[in-house]
Amino acid sequence: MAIRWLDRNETCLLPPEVRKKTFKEYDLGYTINQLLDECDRCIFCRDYDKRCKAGCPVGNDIPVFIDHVEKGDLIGAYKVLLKTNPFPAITGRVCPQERLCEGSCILTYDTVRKKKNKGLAVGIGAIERFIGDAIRISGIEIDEEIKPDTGKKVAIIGAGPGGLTAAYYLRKEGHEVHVFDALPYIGGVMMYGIPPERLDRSVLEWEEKRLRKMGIKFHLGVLVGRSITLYDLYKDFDAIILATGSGRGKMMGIPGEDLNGVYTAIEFLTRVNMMKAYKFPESATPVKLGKRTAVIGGGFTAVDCVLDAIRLGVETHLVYRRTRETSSARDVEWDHVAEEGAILHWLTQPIEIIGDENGNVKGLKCVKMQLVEDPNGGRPRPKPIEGSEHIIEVDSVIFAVGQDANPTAYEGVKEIQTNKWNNVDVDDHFRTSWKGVFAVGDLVNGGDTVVRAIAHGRKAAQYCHEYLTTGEWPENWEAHPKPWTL
Amino acid sequence: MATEKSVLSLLDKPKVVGKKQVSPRGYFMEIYLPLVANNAKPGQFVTIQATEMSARQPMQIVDTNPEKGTFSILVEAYNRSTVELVELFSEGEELFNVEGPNGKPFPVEKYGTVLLIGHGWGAGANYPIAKALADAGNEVYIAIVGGSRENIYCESEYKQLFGEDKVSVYTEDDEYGKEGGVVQALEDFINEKGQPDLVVFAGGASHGEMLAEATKEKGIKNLSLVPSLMLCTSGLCLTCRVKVGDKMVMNCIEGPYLDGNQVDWKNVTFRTGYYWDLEKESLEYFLNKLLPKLKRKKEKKQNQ
Repeated sequence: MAIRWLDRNETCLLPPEVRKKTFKEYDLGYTINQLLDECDRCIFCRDYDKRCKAGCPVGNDIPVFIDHVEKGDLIGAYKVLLKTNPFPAITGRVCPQERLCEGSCILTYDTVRKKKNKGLAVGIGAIERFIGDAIRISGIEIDEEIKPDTGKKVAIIGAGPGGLTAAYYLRKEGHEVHVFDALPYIGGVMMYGIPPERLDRSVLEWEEKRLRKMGIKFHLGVLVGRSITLYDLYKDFDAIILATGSGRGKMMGIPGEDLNGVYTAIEFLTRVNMMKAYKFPESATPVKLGKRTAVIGGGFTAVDCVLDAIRLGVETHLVYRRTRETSSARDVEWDHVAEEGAILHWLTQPIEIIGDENGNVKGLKCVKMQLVEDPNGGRPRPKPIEGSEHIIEVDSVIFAVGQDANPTAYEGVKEIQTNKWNNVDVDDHFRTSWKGVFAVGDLVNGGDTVVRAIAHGRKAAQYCHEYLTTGEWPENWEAHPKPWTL
Repeated sequence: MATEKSVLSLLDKPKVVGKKQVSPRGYFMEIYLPLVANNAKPGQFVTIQATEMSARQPMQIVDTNPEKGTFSILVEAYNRSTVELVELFSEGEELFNVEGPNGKPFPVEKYGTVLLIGHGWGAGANYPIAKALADAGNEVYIAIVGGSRENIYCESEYKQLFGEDKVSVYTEDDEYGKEGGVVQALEDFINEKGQPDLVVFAGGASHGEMLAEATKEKGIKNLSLVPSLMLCTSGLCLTCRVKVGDKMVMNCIEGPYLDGNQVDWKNVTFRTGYYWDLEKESLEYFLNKLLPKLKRKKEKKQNQ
């Protein structure tokens, strides 16, 4: 049969005029016929473990679940996914697939010969999402196989993707699992960060029900480091997994950051996505961007802020010091927000936030940049163009310029070795320097994707289970020199 | 901070177990949550999200009862969150979420003579600190200040604990006690007893600002509760950022009691006012639209 290089099925999006007025999901995913047709495009590479599977941080057996779908067995496909990834409906939505599994699909790139191919990747993300959603809305309850109780207790700190994944796999091994989180909801960044228009909250609610049904205990509203200490938990539990992320907001250190109307991305997103400021005043938490806002940054978080700001009915400017091509967000996402009316300012560096006489933001002073070659061969560097200062008139500014560690849980715990970024050092088994304590996710690598945290969570659960079973811990623990490669 | 009891034995759902009105807008509420009751240290707070649609409201812990597993807060019903608490919750009702204890405990040391000035609800906030400072061997004096008599809280509690002569009461409208505000309270104290070694303040930002000007000028150490806006109260969002000297401090995990002489109070005052129009709208919406609906729902439920 001929290879179908180019006729990839694209998911259906709500039209810009409709989607910019609603916090409902705008990507509607595949229809059932698109799903079946897209599965037909997979050529089932025999060495898929060197291709799509290797491109997937959790190592999903992609052709295997596609095969199940083709045979009319969605439940089987879902079960294949669960072996490596407890949350396919989530990763199917939020993964940057084009640089992971789909970027390693032979139709577009031959990872073995290391050369580009002429086709478009199989829509793996949308297929994965369909499988997760199909089970979710089918009403079928998949019984999770849980091994008999081991009598061992594990405390997991942080209910984000890494923590929840570790909880899932440790519970399956029969351990008693308790998840602590400071916030009143599970999901971590998937709750406060990723907007509902990209990840419908009904997905999270369904996943929470599944986890609770498995017998995982959640303790929400407990800030480890203040409400209780790690030492308290160390006394009561046989193992601890730190999964507190690295989500502290960050600004740039330019003048005017203490004006009214200046937000970090996380403050803005938390107000809108977790505290539902878009339902104000029914929801009591306000957000106040004025008529116009500027989002600073060029990554996924900046896109999320732009999506939310537009949906609040605010004229939204995106300001980034590099170009669209060198930004870390997806190209197609810039298209989406531009269609929704966002005004994109590339090669523009903010240098000062201007306030009015009352201390409220009234403008963002910027300078134009040009890209110059990096003499060391790195990414081209932006350099200011002299005399190009100008002011973008806005009533608020949102900083989406990265994140810092939040060491509240392990600050002052001398048994745990941290690095110069205040993140936790681990070895290749996600063990920290303190016996029985593991760490996963952003607090290990400083900030990566949801699916990377899921990968950490599963591997750490495996190592933690081994530790709980054997009690073995290395005598000469050594920090992994490149934790971002884990 | 380490507790004797196992963590798991302290975890439960938060529930209102007592509510006592002490002034037209002031209420003491007792909340059951053993983790807070057992682990809270003086100066710490809880973040209360009363209902799923409520905002996250930081509230200072006034007193704890570890045996009963309860703690108390002083609620002065002035915004949506506090009005929701007193209007919607009575004994036995569960709160959506309470996070805590939160914040850095107050540095309880031997300072010498300490004057604790509480404005309005701040008198409640200072209460556990006053007790702890007295236990640590300090000479403790209390000034309770309010705009008017109805904002005077904890007077009898303080007097019972420290004696009448250690407690003075001020109202800005001269309705009750001596006339004057927080600065008057400090000046009177200095005139009578000399300069204190430490001033502790809790209350609104504008009062904190006035008091800090006086303590700075006189060179008196000042530890003040900074009533900044807060959101995540877990060290993430920077909503609560406060300038202290040339440093940016996250009030939720480093405060709420900070070096009052170093705090940029002007910035705190105007940043806390950013949402005043929306807060007003939110409260009106609650009182006119949500509350009648919720009350009808509750009555229906009771009738069934």
